[in-house]
Amino acid sequence: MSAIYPPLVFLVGAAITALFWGRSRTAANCAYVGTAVVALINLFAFDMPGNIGIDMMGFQFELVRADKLAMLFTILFHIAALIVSIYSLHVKDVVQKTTGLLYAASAIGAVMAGDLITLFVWWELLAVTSVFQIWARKNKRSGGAGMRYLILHILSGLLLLAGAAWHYAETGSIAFGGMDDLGVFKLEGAAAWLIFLGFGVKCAFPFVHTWLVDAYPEATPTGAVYLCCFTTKVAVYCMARGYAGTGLLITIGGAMAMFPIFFAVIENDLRKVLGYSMINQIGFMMVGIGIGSEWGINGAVAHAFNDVLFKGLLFMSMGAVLYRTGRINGSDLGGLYKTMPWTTFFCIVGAASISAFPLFCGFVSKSMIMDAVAENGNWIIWLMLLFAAAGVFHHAGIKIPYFAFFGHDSGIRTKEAPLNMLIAMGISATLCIAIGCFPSLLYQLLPLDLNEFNAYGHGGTHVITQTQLLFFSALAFVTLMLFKIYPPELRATHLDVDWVYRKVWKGTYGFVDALFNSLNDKIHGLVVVNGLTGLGRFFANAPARLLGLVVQDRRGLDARLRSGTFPIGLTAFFGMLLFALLYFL
Amino acid sequence: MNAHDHHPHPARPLSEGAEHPEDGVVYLEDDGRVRMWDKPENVKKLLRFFFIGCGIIFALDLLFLIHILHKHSAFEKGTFPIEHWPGFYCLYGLAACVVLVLIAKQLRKILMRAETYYEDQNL
Repeated sequence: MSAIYPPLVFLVGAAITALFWGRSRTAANCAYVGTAVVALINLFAFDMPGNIGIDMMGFQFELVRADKLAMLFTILFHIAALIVSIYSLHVKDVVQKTTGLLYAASAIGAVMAGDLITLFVWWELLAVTSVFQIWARKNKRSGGAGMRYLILHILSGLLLLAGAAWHYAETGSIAFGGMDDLGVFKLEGAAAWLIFLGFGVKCAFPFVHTWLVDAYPEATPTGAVYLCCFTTKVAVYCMARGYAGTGLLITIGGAMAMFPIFFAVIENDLRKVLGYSMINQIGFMMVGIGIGSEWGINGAVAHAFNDVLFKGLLFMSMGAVLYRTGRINGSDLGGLYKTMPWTTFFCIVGAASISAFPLFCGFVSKSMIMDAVAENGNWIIWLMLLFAAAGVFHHAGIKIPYFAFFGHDSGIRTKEAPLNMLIAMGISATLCIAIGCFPSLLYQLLPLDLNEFNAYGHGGTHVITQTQLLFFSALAFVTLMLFKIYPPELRATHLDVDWVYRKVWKGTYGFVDALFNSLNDKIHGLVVVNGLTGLGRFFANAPARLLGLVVQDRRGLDARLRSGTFPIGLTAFFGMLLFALLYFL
Repeated sequence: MNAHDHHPHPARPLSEGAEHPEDGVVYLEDDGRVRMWDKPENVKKLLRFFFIGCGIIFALDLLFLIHILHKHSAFEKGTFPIEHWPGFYCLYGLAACVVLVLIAKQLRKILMRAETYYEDQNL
């Protein structure tokens, strides 16, 4: 028996959840979590054909291309969908739940797609289905943020479509590489550049990264977890497939790893801090992909896998805090370890994993990327990434748990997160530690040969140097705190590139609006109000005036004309007369 | 951070940020229990352990120096000797974070605006 097309399982699951919602919440919730379970069984229990293609309109669409790289991400998204659906089980909004399943379906469809058009369709669905996780917050801020998010993602889709069309015109093919092809495109010519930029927007390249840090903090507590699992990881997959070995990505990745950590240090909204830290982690992946060696690509996709687990875990713990306290600003929180001990524990596991402590999952993938950079001999990027690795521990590893759960006691006493949230966080935390302790669990899924890489090998060099780096980063934090040099959390907005379109563009828009609309008003006054109504009045009154020439009672007619009580019968009569005249003439 | 430090009244939920006030948000009275980090001596103990830990971890480089452990070169031999300097990773981590915080503090002077800075925006 062959397996069902994986996204289809989620589409059907979403439909069943929506259908049952009105009748039985229990049945709907079973369908909601059951979808991910059935999808996992469907994925592992049956032999997946390597390719599923259909011929339509003269094109060969490849719905499934199940090589090692695609399967790594497919497995990842199935696990993520299960964890998030458990985490969001308590949500009382059916729209969030069904669009969440559709969102997972889109992500899986996109990474399985073997051609650019199928990819484009799922790519756009990814944008459209995910925005509901932001809008579901149902306030003004989330409305605006969701709209800005959608505009950038639709733009990304259009770039991809334009690139695909151009590519088809040049080569006559819509294929996105064959089985096990990596680095399908060379960054030459318009088509390759358009597709590159399309992927880049979703990867949160510098200057277009704003959608991420703008929208994720405005999503619902569960929505942010959904968002952090899928969108950027699909983009990382596409970048690895399309542009592995593109040198430009090393530079872009270095910048992405560096700049967000400065913003993360001063940002107050803890989910926005996680957003910046996400860009920083994608920076590491871009560098690995850009290098394009076995360690580089393996390290990048392994890090993407781990990032879903530990960043998801951190977003889940912050979501639980927001859900229980209604607050997420560092300045409002503190001392929550007293009433949310399990959430605190899971958050620390996530923090240790993202900081790449030995025995936690971030370590086994980040050290691979670092070795790939060193093997490449690029010591400037290597030093930058080492700086970023210290920085990520500083803002995500220490700042997040410290300001939320310890630090200054805010006086907030609340309840532990609901059971379903704790179970979801528990699964993630277990996977983080399992992969950290037994990296072969993840390494066996990697697409390329590992060349005997072992994070714990080499006489423990990685373990020791990484521990040294992290402990002394912590020492810096402790010292700066003790001497009160560390910047306090302040309730504030920090400007980012989105200022350009949210303020400058708004200003320009306002100016253009004032200029053209006043011009428009003048012309409207001249042409429509005076000119056209004059013309209209002329045509409206002309028959009556003509009539006035022949009718004796001019004054009575005039009065009727002014008051608008011109009898319809009379008009009809003259109409008939006109037709009769026309007929006879 | 001690038991008398917290506010006399438990904080109230803020209207903004709370998605649906009836959903999930729970505020309880303090039960008066003194927890682990309420005691300053525990915090001091933790810090002492941490500083000792830093010392030991710094000293691990000695094992490389006297060749009990062999430090594996990430870079091709001789191309980037700095990675073999004793204490390099420790000092780099420390310096990186201090520089990071100091730059970020300056950045705040340029980038910080009122929290409601974008509130009047629609797009």
